[in-house]
Formats: sequence, structure tokens, C-alpha cells
Amino acid sequence: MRNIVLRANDGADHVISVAAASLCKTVASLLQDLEASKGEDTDPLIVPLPNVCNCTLQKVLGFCEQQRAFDELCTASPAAQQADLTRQIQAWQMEYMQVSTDELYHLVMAAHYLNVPRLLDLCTDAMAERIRGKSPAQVRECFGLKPSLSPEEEEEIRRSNLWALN
Amino acid sequence: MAATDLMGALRGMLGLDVSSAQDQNSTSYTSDIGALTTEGRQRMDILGLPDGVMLSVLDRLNPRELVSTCCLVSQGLRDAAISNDLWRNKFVDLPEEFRDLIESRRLYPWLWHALYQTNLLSNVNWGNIIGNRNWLMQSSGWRVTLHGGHGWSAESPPAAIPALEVKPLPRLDAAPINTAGALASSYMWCEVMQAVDLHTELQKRRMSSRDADSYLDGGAELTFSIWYGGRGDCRSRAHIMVVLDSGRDALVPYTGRHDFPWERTAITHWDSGMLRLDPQDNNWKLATHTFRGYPAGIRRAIIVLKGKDEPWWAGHYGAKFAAPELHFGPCRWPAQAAAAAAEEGSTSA
Repeated sequence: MRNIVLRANDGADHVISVAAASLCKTVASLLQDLEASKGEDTDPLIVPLPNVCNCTLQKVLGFCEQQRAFDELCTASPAAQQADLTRQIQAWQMEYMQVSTDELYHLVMAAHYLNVPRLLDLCTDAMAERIRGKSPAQVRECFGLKPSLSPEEEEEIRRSNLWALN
Repeated sequence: MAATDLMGALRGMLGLDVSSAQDQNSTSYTSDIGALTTEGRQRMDILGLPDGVMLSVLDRLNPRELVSTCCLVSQGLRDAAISNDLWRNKFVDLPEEFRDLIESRRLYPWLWHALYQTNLLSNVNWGNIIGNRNWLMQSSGWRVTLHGGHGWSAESPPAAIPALEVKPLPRLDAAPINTAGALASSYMWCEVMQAVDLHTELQKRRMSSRDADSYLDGGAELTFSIWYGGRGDCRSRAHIMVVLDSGRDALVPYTGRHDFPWERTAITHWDSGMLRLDPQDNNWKLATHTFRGYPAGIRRAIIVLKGKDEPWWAGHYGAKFAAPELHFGPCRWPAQAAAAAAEEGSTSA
């Protein structure tokens, strides 16, 4: 089986299986194109990823490998155990998403760049969770934003959106 | 002397200019370095997220949160939170021309509130009519057609039943209502009704007459919900009916001595059937119905509420109603609605 090497922006290499790489749609389509043009090849394929740093890439690959393992378990196990397995997966994903907002941001960017739909779903969920139920100031603090609205603008927005604020 | 002063001042200004330019350079330089963290990656900037990702993040938030929180965070997040792309899909069956108008003015959040979060019924908090014996005579929207036994009684807080922890849905541009008062029935059938002109209500929501016609004819979702309950010491019954008709006929001068003649004009209707309330189950229940895909031509909704007690006790021991609401869009209480639907299914089966 062919190995794929993903190279982070600092030059660190990560070897992953084709099965796990197929979760990254960007890599998967690259692989397909190559196979269509050159046919089967046993040399490892090196994919440089200039936008992704080493630790984020590690995290993404951890997700791919783990999801792959869960998928295999899902198809192998009988229907009776499916519910238990789903719970297990959810617990793992909860654990996986225990990251700082900064890391989460980079994870989203990497998931978007590598096009991993399931990871992207998970990340957008986590991102929304970090906005939910907070005050504007808390959201600003969480995402490191500077207030860019003048007090007059803020007052104007409050006035026009009164319905949402009470 | 004056000339050298001028030169000096000029030089000073130039010098200042140069040094400020340097300042700018150096700050931009350091901020460039600051942008790279130790792991050699860019600084987080949530507004730099790709549009598609940003949309799916915001799409997971409740519309109210989008407006009350995201709008006040920063200019960039505000633009994203009220963008047409985000809101367009929260609406079904809006007339095309009206959609254009809304998009050009970025009114989607307001419209979401006006259609789905405001009450088409008026005077829904019965608690505030206590002590006003003539409330039925006033143009309160409600019309009492049966005042059986000792008649309807307004209660706030409701007697012999836990308080209803629900904020009644206010009308458009009205102040929020924080407590739900109740209307309690007596030992003979009590009945109260209200007719709502849907066409007028839509025009109050900035639709032109033609837009309102096409919105209603498009079969927009319309939900009626009401909480009902019985006392902990007496069996009672409730009956709820919602009739949708063309509104062309004036409402018949109906006194409630016979059944409400809804068949005459109804295009579609919902009948709760006889709801029997057990003292054991001494709490509020939700009765709700969402009209979908109804035939064209509906312009008016008529709500009819009936209640009485079972053992014919003097006083107001009959079924109680609270927090009625009629609005477009799906039910605000999906969990309770599902439970009510399941119960209805089991009793009919």
C-alpha cells in the first residue's frame, strides 16, 4: 500500500495511510489525479502544505486516523453495539475538542484547507459553542478582537435591535 | 529672524514627520513579528475565516444571539452576522419581490423577529385584566361568547396550579410580558374567541398588500400554541379550535348557544378534540398546531377556546388557559409539541 507524506510548513514530515488520507478531500483528489495520469505508483507521495504548521497537522492527522479506526469498528460491529460506539465516538470528539481558541482557529483553517468535512463540522460546532451564551465583551476577549464600534454606533445597533435584547 | 524660525519650525515638522514615519515602520515591523507565534503560524483572526466556514459557524447560533451578541462584538462580525447569505435560508416562501426589498435593506433579522417571534393575537396576558369587569366589552380583541356558570375569571397568578414559567409572546413593537396570567372557566361551558386579520398583520410587518397575498397563498407555516391546565382539586375539560378562512364574511353575530358555525366559511381548521384534565396531572400542557401547505385564499384566523369543570362546582374550577400565541413559522416549543403530538396519537389510537 502506498504511503503519503504530508509536509508541514516547517518541513516536518508525517506519514499516513491512504485510508486515513482519503478523509482529506484535498489530498484524496490529488491522489486520484496522479493515479489517473501516471497509473499505480509505489513511491511515497510527498504533499507540501505551506499553510499548515506542524502541531496543527499532527492534530488533524490524529483525527483522520482515529475516525478511520472508528469507521472500521462501525462496519465490523453488530447493530446492537452501534449506540455504544456512537457514544464512544462522541466522548472522543469531546476530548479532542479541548483546545485553546487559538488552536481551534488553526484547526479550522487547516480542516478547510485540507477539506476534511467531518473535522470542519466538529470545529464549526466548537467555534459556535464558544460564542453561545456570552456577552459581546466576552466574545471579544475569547477571540482576541479589539472593539471596533464607536459608542454611538453601538448605541444605534442596540436601538435598532431592541427586540433581540430583552 | 522670522525666516529662520519658520525654517526651524519646518525642519521640526519634517523631523517629526520622519520620526513618526519611522515609528510607523517600526510598529508595523514589530507587529509583523508579533503576528508569528513561536510555532511559526499566523495570529488568530476570526474574521479571516473563509466565508463558507464563517457562515456555518454563525448558522449554528440562535438568531437572537446573532443579533444581540455578534452584532455588538465588532464591525466585521456584525456584517457577517446580519449578512443576507446567512439569513436567507431561515425563511420559507417569502414572495420574490419582497425578498429583494428585504435584502437591499438588510432587514432579515428584523423580519425573522416580526414573523416568527411576535404574536398575531392581541391581549394575551389575561392576568392584567383582573379588576376590570368590563374587559369583555372593550375592544380587547377577545370576545366572550359563552359566560356559563359563574363565567370566565382572570387569574394572576393562576390558582391551584403551579405558575406557568413561560413568557407570553408579545405583539410587534410591544413591551415584553414577563408573567403569564390565566383565564379560568366555570361549571358550565365558557367560551372566548378572537379573530385575526392575517393580511393586515402582514402589512404591519412591512409587506405590501400584494406581497402579503402571495405570502399567505404560498401556504406559509402558521402556528397556534396555547398552554392549558386544570386545578389540582377538580376534574375539568378544555376544547380548542382554530379556523382559517377567507375573512370575506363579517364574523357572524354568534352567541355561543349553538356550536360555533365554522364549517360555513372554513378553508381549513384544527380541532383539539375534548381535552380531559385530571387533578393528578396538575400542571400546564401545551396544545399546538402548525398549519402547513393549506390551500390558497386564507386571510383570517379565528381562535375559539372553551372550558368547564366536570363536577359542576360553583366558582371557577374549570380548565384554565394561558399564553396563547399565533405566529408564522414552526412552534417555539418543539419538545413539548412533540410530546403533545405523541399523546394525541395515543389517545386517538
